[in-house]
Parts: sequence; structure tokens; C-alpha cells
Amino acid sequence: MTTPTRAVCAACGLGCDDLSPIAERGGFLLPGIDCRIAAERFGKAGGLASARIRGKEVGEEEAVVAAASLLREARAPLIGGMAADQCAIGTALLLAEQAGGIVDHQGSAASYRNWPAAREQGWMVTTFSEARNRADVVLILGPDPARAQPRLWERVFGATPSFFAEGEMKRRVFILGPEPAPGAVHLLRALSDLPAALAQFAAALASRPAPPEMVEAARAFSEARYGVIAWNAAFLDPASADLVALAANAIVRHRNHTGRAALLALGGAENLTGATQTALWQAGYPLRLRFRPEGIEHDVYRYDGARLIASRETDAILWLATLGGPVSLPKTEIPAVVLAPPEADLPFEPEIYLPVGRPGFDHPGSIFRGDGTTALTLPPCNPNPRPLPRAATLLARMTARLRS
Amino acid sequence: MSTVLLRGGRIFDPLHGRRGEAADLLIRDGRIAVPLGPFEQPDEEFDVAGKVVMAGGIDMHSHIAGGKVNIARSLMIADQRDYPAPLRPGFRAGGGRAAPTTFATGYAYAEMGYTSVFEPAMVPANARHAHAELADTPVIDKGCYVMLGNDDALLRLIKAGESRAMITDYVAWMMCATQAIAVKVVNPGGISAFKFNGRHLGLGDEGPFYGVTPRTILRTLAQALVDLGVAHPLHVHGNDLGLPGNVETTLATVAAMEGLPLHLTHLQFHSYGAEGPRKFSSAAGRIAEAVNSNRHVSIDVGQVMFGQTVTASADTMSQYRNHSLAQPRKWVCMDIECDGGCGLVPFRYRDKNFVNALQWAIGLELFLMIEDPWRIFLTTDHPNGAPFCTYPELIRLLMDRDFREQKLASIHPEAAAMSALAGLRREYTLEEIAILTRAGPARILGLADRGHLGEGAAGDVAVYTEQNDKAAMFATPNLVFKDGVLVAREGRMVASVTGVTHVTRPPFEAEIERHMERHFEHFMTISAASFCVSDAEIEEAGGRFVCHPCSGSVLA
Repeated sequence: MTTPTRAVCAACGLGCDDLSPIAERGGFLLPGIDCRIAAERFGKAGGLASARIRGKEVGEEEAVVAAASLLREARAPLIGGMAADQCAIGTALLLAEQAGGIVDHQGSAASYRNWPAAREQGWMVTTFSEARNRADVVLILGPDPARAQPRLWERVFGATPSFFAEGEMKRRVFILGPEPAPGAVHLLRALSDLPAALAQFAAALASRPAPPEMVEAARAFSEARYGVIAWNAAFLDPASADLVALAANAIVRHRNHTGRAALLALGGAENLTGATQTALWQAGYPLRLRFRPEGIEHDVYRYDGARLIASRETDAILWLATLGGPVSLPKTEIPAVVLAPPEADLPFEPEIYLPVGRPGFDHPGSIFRGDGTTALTLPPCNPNPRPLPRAATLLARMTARLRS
Repeated sequence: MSTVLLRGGRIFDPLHGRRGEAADLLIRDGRIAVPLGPFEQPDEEFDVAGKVVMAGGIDMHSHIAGGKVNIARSLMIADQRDYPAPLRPGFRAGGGRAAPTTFATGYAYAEMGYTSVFEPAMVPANARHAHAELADTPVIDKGCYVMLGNDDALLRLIKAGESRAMITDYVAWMMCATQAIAVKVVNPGGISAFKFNGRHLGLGDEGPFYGVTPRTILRTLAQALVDLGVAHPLHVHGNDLGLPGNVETTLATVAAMEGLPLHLTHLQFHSYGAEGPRKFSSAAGRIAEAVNSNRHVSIDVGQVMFGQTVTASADTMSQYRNHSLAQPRKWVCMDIECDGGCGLVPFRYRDKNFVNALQWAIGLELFLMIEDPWRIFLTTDHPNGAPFCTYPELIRLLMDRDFREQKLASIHPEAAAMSALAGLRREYTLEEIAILTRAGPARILGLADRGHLGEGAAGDVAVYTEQNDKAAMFATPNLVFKDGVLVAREGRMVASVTGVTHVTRPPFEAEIERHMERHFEHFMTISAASFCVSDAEIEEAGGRFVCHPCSGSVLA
């Protein structure tokens, strides 16, 4: 079988689909791709493992039966991680419904920092292709977003072609935060000072007194044909991240009275966006929901997976980490079932381990990009797909056991 | 071989001229079949003597799947909490009324006797998401209209003076890539204009940057669909939605098409005059006259019904303009992938509000003044005018003049006075309702084997008990069959099945594929390969396609 010429990366939310992997021992090289995250993700791919219960190898069916049993006996099981393809996520929600479980994604904390702006006020947003083609002024909040999305400059905010420019798009980029970014005017501020800094920016927009560098940035923003304010909530000071989103929202709303601007919330690693979308359409609520016989509940605090693990309010965990990324299940005494591909480094030996195939490697799958609209398929790039079940298949078998 | 016999029902099958005569109906292996021979016994038999039997309902315009619908859900969590649904064995959890979950959507439609629903506003870049939601929408058949007309790819082709053949190929390529059955255009040129800070775009105005007029966009797309032989006409959400005086735009849009097949959607929102002290009036009379005299035009009403809902539209220009009306006070506006956009504004229509009351009356005026039931379809533009669960009450308003007059007496009195509704005595018959909700939508979409009960039709059947309260009648069918399987009894689900996805796949030349590959690679943030939704993806999720031939529009 020849290796397909194209692969898609599910790691950071940018959804880069221009990868041409070349097989080499232990994984793949990605020639021409300047991304350390993708290099690591694709560099380690392959290997086989057996199912294990308490570290002892067992047959797959025995582990599936044990996992179903664990979930059935639990009072408040948590379906967490959720770093998986769309099919597995949908099946995990069905499993949670049958088990009366709680559902959260390992990355949800960052997205909930945007909640008051996004869901309680509502906001004006844009997507990657729009920003690439239109954004002539960009204000980045926080550290260089390339930390989490190395190719963001290359694919979105850098000097790219544009429908609306001869040659490359001419952009002015400002970064408001503790560190500079290449090609951006740096407005130096500590993360904890961002809300105050945005208040200065808003003052400057309204022609009220403000520091000179803010006045310059605000003038650029107010004269922009299409201004974009972007940030990755995961990198903001947790104590004030929601205020940053609210302040950015207010600036963009005000700007749209007379001109055009939009927000772009960066992030969405490990299919966080897909997990959120699927929960919304299947259950009517975003993540941090619980299935009960009388209906579904949603509570951002109560059903915070990380909190439930730390406080030991959950008594059984099913953790999905199938995309080839780190298994970020915190070390815990709570019995856990982990579904991950054999190359994944487990932080500790869980109660039950089930090896699964990796979407985009052993089998096809799909994920959502971090900007919400676009979902991509992950064509399998392993020339010799491993004889490993898909996570969705195992979850379906567990669900069938819970039903009977 | 499995056979289901419905014995002695009153068959309403307008396509075949059946108006309630009693007859047996046989479903064999999921299809309507000739009656059994004298010695054959059916596997299942239902006594439906005296009951009204129709094909399953077809909603040809309802926002049930995709990004904007999901954003609506995220804004309407209170709706989910107010309308929860307890877990039922064999069925998926989830509730909601204005923004129901996908499972609740399928079940609620089936419980009302509907068996096919069409998502009218698929953003091309969001096609995969739309189909994923539809895969999680049980029971009903589904399909999508792909939105073109504000996409930079098309506007570039028009501006560059590309050939009619090339543009036609583009439309075909897009329909195939997004697995659509039809093409819709929303505020032609207007969504694009808003991205350039345009706040209004009239039919003859040159849009920013491209300099293309909405009139050109409309004619270009409508002509392409005729050239391709796509069954459904260009599905048009016109310019100037919601603006007082927009009757002129609507009439000009009809004239601009010069006989090309045209479907005007949620026409109620486009039927406004600017008369009277409040400079807002009904122009339904003039609109109805135009529909009556232009046989190349079909419409769906987009009726407003009072209560809480959420407006979910691709028309960012209009939604942004109206955002301060949001109730509750939150809203989302999104520019999307050089394709289009979406705007979400929760809204509560009030009978004591002059404008809302008149909107309600205008929709009913359209229903009652448009004469040809085959060219008008019953919709509330769910959820924009009202949630689809209000259809039974709407049917009662159309069939029961006393009920209608009662309601008219309770709305804002100035709105009632400005409306012609009081003088409209028409009451819809059961046959006409069957046309508006079954036979007509099937015909306008080119669904040859749905919307009727002739031999070979899909075994999608709804059985109702005729009663004075037509809302109760249509809210609670006695029996609902999907492909010959009993899915609901007395308005409650008894079994879940999976419907098919209806598509149209017009052919295109290879050159457009190369053009699109270059387009995506150079300008966009995904590749053409990622953009296209493959059959395999949908089939792996348990879906199945039905591909309809390009045999032209019934309005041509």
C-alpha cells in the first residue's frame, strides 16, 4: 500500500491539511512543515500493545467487559479527555447517556474563560480564511500564539496571498502582552494587566487620554478595513481571562457601529471544538454536562472534569486520548479506563488500558478546526494500518453491555 | 417481504386526485404497493376507518443542522432547560423547543407526522458539520441547500467575466462537494458587502470590491440551475429582509428573473409596506397578486407565531442591523470562511407588539390570498418565525376562520386594523393542507417518490383523526410510518429508524476541479480535498444517499 500523499494534523486546532508525511522508523517525517508540534505528533507513531487490567495483559473483550462493569457500578462516572475523532466523541456521549455520566474535555477550562463573552453576551467572530484574506490590522492579546499554534503566522496572520490585495496581504500586527512576536509591534504588558490595557485601548479608540503606543494601535484599528482581535484563552492569566474576552468583545462591538472588526478565539487543540459542537447538537448543552434519568444537566463548575478528579467526586473515569497527543489524565487513585494508541505515554498505569487505533493514522476520522465552522477528515497515513480497534467501536461495545 | 395494511382510511393524495375517499393502503417492504390479493394476509394490519391518511409531511425549509443552528443552541440554553426531555429507553436524550437537539428534532417532527425535512442554509465550508448533525437526526429523511451568492469564489468568477459554462460548472461542483440537493442564495451580495462594511445593498446596487449587483447574482445562479436541470428553483432569501417597504425589492426580484424559476423563501419577511403612522404596513396583497400571476414563482411563507424563539440566519447584514432587538440580550454575528456568514438573535414575538402582530397577520394574508396551493408551502422558517412545533396551531389558523378571528381580536388593535385579515374568509381544506405540507414540497424539490401515496412511493404515511380542533388533530397523529415502519403512535415515538439524505449531483468538467484546487491552495486555509464531503464519510456514519436526477424544474 502506498502512503497517501496527504495527512491532516489534529493537534492544535489549526487543522493543517497540507502535510505530506514520509514514513521513517517509529513514525513520519513532515518535510517542509515548520511545526514542532506536528513533528512530535507524527514523529512518534506506531507500535502495538495489548489491553491491560492493573498492568496485566488481558484479552480485549475482557478489558471491555471490565470497563463497562466499572462504569455501571459507578455513581458518578466521568467521561473525560475526549481528545478523539468525531465518531468516538459521538459514541462517548451515547455511552455517557447510558452510564448516567458526566462529560468534559481535557481542554475545556480555556474555552470557559471565554464563556461570559461568548455565551452570555454573544460576540462577533470570524474564521481563519476570512482573517487571512481580510484582516489588515490584527491585535493579539497575550503571548505569541505560535506557542500553541506554530503555523498561525504562516497560515493566517503572516504575509499571505489575499483576494483583496495585489501580491501579499499588508497587515499591521500589534501584540499586547509580555513577549514580542515576529513582525508585530509589541505593546508590553504583563498578562495580569491586560484588562487595564484593553481599557486604555478602548479609551484611545474613543479619543480619550491614553498612552501614546495605545493611541497609535487604536488609530490603526479604527482605520482598518477589517480589524481582528485574537487571543488564546489558555495563555491568559486565569484570574482575569474572562475580563480580557469581555473587554475585547466590547471593543469589537463598538467598532462595528461604524466599521468592521471581529474576534478570533484561538485554541481548540485535540478536537476540543468538535467535542463542544457534538455535545451541543446531541445534548443541547456544551461540555460539562451530566446525563440523568430525568434529563441532562449542564453546570460549568459542578461538572468540571479536572475539579471532579481532584475532589474525588467522580468514582470512575473513562479517558479518551486517541489523537496521538499526550495523555493528560491527572494522577489519581480513582479507577480509570484509558483508551489511547500504543505510542501514547501513559502518565501512570490505569486500572484498565485499551489500545486503540489512531485516527488519521490507522483509520479515517474527522475533527473540527478551532475556529468552529470547518471540520476536516483525517485520511489514514499508515501504509500498514495496525490491527487495533477504533475507539468508537470499543465504546459502542461498552454501551451495548450497559444496556443489557 | 413485510406488509403493512391500513384498512379503510380516507386517503388524501392530491397528486393523484384522491380527496378523502375510503380505501385500503398497503405498504410492502417500505413502499406503497398495490393492494393484497384476496387470500393474502398482511404481516401487520391497522384499522384506520374514518381516519385521515396522508403521506408523511415534508418541511422544505427548516434550520435544523449546522453551525448556526448549533450556535443558536449555545445561546438558548435556557430553552433547553425549559423544555427538557426525560430519558426514554430506546431513544436519545435531549430536548429544547426553539433550538432542539438533533435527536429531539427528529422525534418531534416524526411525532407530528413529518417524514422529511430540509436544511435550507448550508454554508459550503460547514457542509461536513451540517451532514454530521443530520446523521444524528433520527427518523426523518433530510437534505441541504447549499448557499452561494456571497462566496468570494463565485463573485470572483462573475467579476472576471468567466463564461456561463464555467460558472455553471462551479455551481455543479459546489453541489457535489457539499452533498446538496438545491442551491440557496441569501441576501445576494449583501453578506459579502457587510464584510466590506456595507450596511445596505439594493437589488441594482453594485456590491463593494466586486461591483456585482444582486440582480446579476440572482440571474446567474438561477440560469446555472436551469442549465444543470436541477429540480428545485433557486431558493431565494431576498435583499432587504425585514425592512419596511421591502415589497418593492421583492416585486423587483420577481421581475428581474424574467421567467427563470424562482422560489421566494419566508416571503412574509419580504412583504412589508411603509404606510401608515408607524411607517410599517402589510403589502401582502401586492405580493400575493405577483405570485398568483407569475407561474414561474413558488414561495414558502415563514409565518411568525407568538412566543420565544431565536432567529438564526445567514444574513449577517440584517441580523447585525437588528441585534439591539435581541431578547434575551445576547447575539452572535460571524463572518465565515469567504463563503458567507451567520447571525443569531434570540427573539420574542409578542401579540401586543404592533410590528410582531402585523407580521403574524401578513403571513396569514399570504396564505389566504395566494391561490395556487401547489406553489405555496407551509413554513415558519424554523426557528426564525417560530419553532416548528407551532405548525399544528398554524394549520388550525388556516382551516378554522373562527379560531383565526379570535386570535385576530387579541392582537395589537392597530395591527389588526391595518391588516386585511378580517375580511379574508377562506378556510383551507384538508386536501389543500396536504398539498402545502406534502404534495407540493415533494414536487418543488423533485422528490418523485415522496409526498404522495401512489404505487412505488416511500412508505411514509401519517394517519390523523379528523376533529374540530385542527391543532389537536395535526399535533397528534394516530400513526406515523417511515419507510413502512411504525415510528410513532398517538403522537409518541415507538421506534426509531434512519432516513436517507437526498442529493442532486449535476455533472461538471474537470477544469473546474483544477480551478478550485488552485483557489483553495492559494487563498484559503484548507485544501479542496478537505473541503469536499465524500460519500464514504456519510455512509460510515450509517447514512445512505438518494440521488435525484437533473430533470428540470416544474416551474420552468
